[in-house]
Amino acid sequence: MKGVSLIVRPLLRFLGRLLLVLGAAQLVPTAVCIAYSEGTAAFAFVGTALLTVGSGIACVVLGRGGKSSTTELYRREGILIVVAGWVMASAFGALPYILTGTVTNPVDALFESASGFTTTGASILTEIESNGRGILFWRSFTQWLGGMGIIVLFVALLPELGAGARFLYKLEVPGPTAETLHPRVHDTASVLWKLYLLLTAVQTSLLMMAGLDLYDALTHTFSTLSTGGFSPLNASAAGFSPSVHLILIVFMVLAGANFSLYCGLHQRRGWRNLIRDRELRFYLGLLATFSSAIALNLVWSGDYTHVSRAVLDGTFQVVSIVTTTGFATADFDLWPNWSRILLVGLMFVGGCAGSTAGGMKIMRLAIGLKSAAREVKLMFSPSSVVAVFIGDKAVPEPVVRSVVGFIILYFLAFGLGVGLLTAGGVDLETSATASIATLGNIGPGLHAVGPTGNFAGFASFQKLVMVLLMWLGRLEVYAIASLFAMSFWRR
Amino acid sequence: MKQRFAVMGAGEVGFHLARTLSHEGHSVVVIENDSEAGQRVEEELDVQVVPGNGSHVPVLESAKVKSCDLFMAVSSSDESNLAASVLAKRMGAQRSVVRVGVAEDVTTHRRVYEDVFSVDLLLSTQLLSTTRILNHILGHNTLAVEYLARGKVQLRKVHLAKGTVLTRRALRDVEMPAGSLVVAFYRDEELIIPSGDDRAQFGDDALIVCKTEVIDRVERLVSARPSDHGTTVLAGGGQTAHAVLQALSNQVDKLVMIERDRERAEYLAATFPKVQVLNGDATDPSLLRSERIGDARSFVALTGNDERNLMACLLAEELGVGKVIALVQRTETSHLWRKLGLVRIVSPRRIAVERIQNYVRSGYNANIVSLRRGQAQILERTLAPASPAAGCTLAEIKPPRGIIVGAVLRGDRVFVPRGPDRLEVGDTVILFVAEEHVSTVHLLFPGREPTASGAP
Repeated sequence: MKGVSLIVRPLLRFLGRLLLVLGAAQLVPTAVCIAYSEGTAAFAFVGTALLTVGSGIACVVLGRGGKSSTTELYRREGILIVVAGWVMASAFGALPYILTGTVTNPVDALFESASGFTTTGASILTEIESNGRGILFWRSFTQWLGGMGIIVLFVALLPELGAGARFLYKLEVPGPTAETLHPRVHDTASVLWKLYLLLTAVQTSLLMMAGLDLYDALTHTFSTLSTGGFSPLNASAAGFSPSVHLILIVFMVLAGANFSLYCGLHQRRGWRNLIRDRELRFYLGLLATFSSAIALNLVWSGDYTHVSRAVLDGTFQVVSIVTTTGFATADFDLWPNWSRILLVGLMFVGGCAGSTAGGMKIMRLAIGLKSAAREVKLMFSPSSVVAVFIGDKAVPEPVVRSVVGFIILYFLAFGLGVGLLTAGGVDLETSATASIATLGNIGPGLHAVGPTGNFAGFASFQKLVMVLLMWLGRLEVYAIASLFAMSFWRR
Repeated sequence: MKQRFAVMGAGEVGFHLARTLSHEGHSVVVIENDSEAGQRVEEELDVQVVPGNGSHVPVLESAKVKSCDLFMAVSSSDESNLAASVLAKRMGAQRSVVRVGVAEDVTTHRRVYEDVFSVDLLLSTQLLSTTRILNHILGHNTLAVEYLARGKVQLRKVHLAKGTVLTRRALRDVEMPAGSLVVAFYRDEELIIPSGDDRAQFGDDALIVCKTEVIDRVERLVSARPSDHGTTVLAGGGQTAHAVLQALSNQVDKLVMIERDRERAEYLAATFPKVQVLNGDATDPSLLRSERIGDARSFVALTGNDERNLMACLLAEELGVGKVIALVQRTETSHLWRKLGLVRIVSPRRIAVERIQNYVRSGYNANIVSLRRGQAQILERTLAPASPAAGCTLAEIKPPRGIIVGAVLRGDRVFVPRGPDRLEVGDTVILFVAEEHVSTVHLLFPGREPTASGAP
C-alpha cells in the first residue's frame, strides 16, 4: 500500500492541477455562449467548469502529503501522468457535449472530445451547424489546446515542476528527438506557446481581412494551427473563397513544420538554418510533388475543367492530409482512384518532427528508410560500420532503434485497428482509412468516413477503439504501448 | 656559436633532441620527472639532468632556464608543457618550443596558444606526421601539404602540361579559378616568384596556392598529370587517422577506414559521412581480401602498435596495394622496415626532432616553409596598425616583384586575395617571398612584436 501511494500521490497532485487548468479553459466558451445569447449552454459550461475544478481540487487534496513536497518524477510516473492526463482531459472535455445536450451517448461525447484534444478532427456530429455556437467553439478550442500539447501548456504554466518536466515534455512533443530550445524546459514550453499565440493572432486577422467574421476566423485558426480540422460549418472549408483557402494552406504548412525552426528566426542564423533544414526541404518538396501529381490527375481524368481550381483543390487536400489537418475543400472521395490512393499513402507520412501535426513524421520515415538501406549494404559487406545520416548529422543508434520500433508498433496499431473495425461489419475501405485517419490524427478517410461522411455510424465499441488509436497517435505509440507491457507494472 | 638549451621531458623526442644538440657542441639541460629515464640520459649523453616536474618553478630555477636560448617543452603532457613554457618565458628564457598532441589545436587555434602561453613555436607531433602521411598519399604533385591558413588553403606543385594556358599568356591575363593563385615557378635550378608580366615556360613546375575545394579544378586546368589518387585505405582509427581523414575527405575519391574497436568505428562512421568504415582487424587477410583492399592505390597503417602496422603493411603489399605507408613509433627500428621493403615510413618523433633542429639551425626562424634551399620563403604575418599595408587594397600596395600575398585569414574566413581586396588590421597574411626581398617584407608588413616578456 505504501508503494502504491508513492506513485498515486504525485499522480493525483499532477492530475488535479491539470484539471484546474482545464476547468479554467472551459470558462472561455462560456463567454462565447453569452456573446451569442445561448443561455442554457452558458450554464452548461459553467457547470462543467465547476465539476472539473471541483474534481481538480479533490485530486490535489487527496494527493497532498507524501515524503517530499517536490515531486520526483521517474520514467514510470512520467508515462502514467502523461497518459492519465490525456485520458482525463478527454473525459472532462466530453462533459460539455453531454451537459449542453449535443450528444446523448457518453461514448460519442468521449469520441468527439478525444478527437478534439488529439487534433484528429473526426466527428460523430451529422448536422454540425444545427449545434450552438458555444459548443462548436469548444470543439475547435480543444484542438487548439491539444495542438501545442496540454502537457506542454502545463509545463509552461507551472515552472516548479523541476527535472521531471523534461521527460513529460519529451513524451508529448512529436518526433524522434525533442529538441529543447532553452536550458530550462519551462522556458522552452513558454516560448513555444507564445509563438503559437502569435501565429494564432496573425492567422485570425488575415482570415478576417479575407472576409470571415471573428467567430469563423478564430475557430478555423484554432483547427488550422493545431492541424486539427474541426470546422463549425457543414461544408468544412469548401464554402470559403480561394483567398481564404490560400491562407489556410499557408498556415497548415507552417503548422506542419518544426516549430523550433521559427524560434531561431529572430537571430541572424535562423533563416540559414531554415533553408538548410533537411526535413523542411523534404517536407516542402513532398507537398509540391504530390500536389502537382494530384492536380494533373484531376485535370486529365476530366473531373476538373479549370486547371487553377484543380491546382488549388489538389494542393489544399495534399497539405491538409500531410499536415494531418483534415480540412476539405472538395469531396476527394469522388476523385479518381489514383488521387485517392496517393492521399491514403500520404496519411501515413505526417508532418515534421516538433510540429503540431500527427502521423509518423517525415523525420522518422527518413531514418527508417535509411536504416533499411543500411541493412541492405551490410548484407554484402558485413564488417562495414555505417551511420544513418540526416543531412550531415549522424543519427545516434538508440534513436535509430527507437524509430524502427516505432514504425513496427505504428503499423501494428494500424492493423489491429483495421481488424477491430472490420470485425464489426464495416467495409474494408472505410475501416482501413478510418483506422489510419484516427491513428494519424487526420480526421476524414474515404467512403463512409470521407469528407462528407462522419463517424456516427460506428458501434460504441468501435468508437472506443478509435479513441485509443487517436491517443496512440498523439502520444506517438510508446507511452501507451508501455502501459500494455507486463514489466511496467511489476515492482 | 655555443648556445644553452633546456629540454623538458626525456622521452624519445627529448632524448634525440638532447643528443643531437649536445653532439653539435651546445650545452643542454634535461628536465625529467622519471628518475629512470633521467638516469638513462645521464649515462648516455653529455648533458645535465635536473630531476623533477618542469612546471614547478624551483625545478626550472635549478635548470637555469633564465639564461637559456631555447626552452623546449616536449614531454608527453600538453598541460605541463604549456605551463612550463609560460613559466620559463617569464623567468627569462629567450624562446620556447611547445609540443602538443592534437593537430587541431595547432592548425586552428595556434594564435591563441602563442599569445596566451607565449610560445614561439607550437608543434604537434600528430600534425607533423599527418602532413608527412598526406605527402606520401598525394604523391609527387604535392610539394608540401602545409596547413596554410588553418588547413583551408593548400600549396601544390604542379608539372605544367604542354600548351597550358599558363605558358601561352602572361599571368595577369590568365583566368585562374577563384581562390587560386600561382605563386612560384620552378625553372631548372631557379625558383621564380613571378609578377603579372611573367609567363611560364614549357617544362616548368608551378607552385599554386589554392583553397582546398578548387584544387581539383586547378589541376585539371594546368597539370600534365592530373592526380588520380584512387582508393585510400587507413588501418587504425586513432587521432592521427582522424586528422588524415579530415584533410583527405574532399580530395580523394574513396576512403576506407579499418578500425578494430566497435565504438570507435561507430564514432568515425558518424563523423565522416563519405568514409567507408569497416569494423575489423587490419591484420586479418580474409577481411582485406573480401573488402578488395588490394585494389587500393594507397594503404596507411596507423594503429598505435608497430607490430600490427608491420603485419598489416606486409599483407597490403602482398595483396598488391600501390603505396604502403606505415606509422612507426619506435624510430630505432626503421632500418628493419626498409629491409623488408617498406620504405614509406613515418616516425612522428623523428619528424618532431627534425622540425625543432631546423628551427634552431635557421636561427630561430619560425616561418612556415623555406623553398628550394632558401631561395624563397613562406612567411606568415599579422597586420599591425602601424603597417603601411593596413587599410589598402592589394592593387594600391603594389607589392614589388618577388613578394606575393598568397592568402589572407580574417577571423574565420580565408581567401586568396586579388587586386581590389583590401587588407585590414588584424588580418594574417601568408606571403611568398624571394630571398632578396625578405627585408622588404619587414618594412611593408611589420609583424607583431614577439610576445616574450623581458627578464625579471
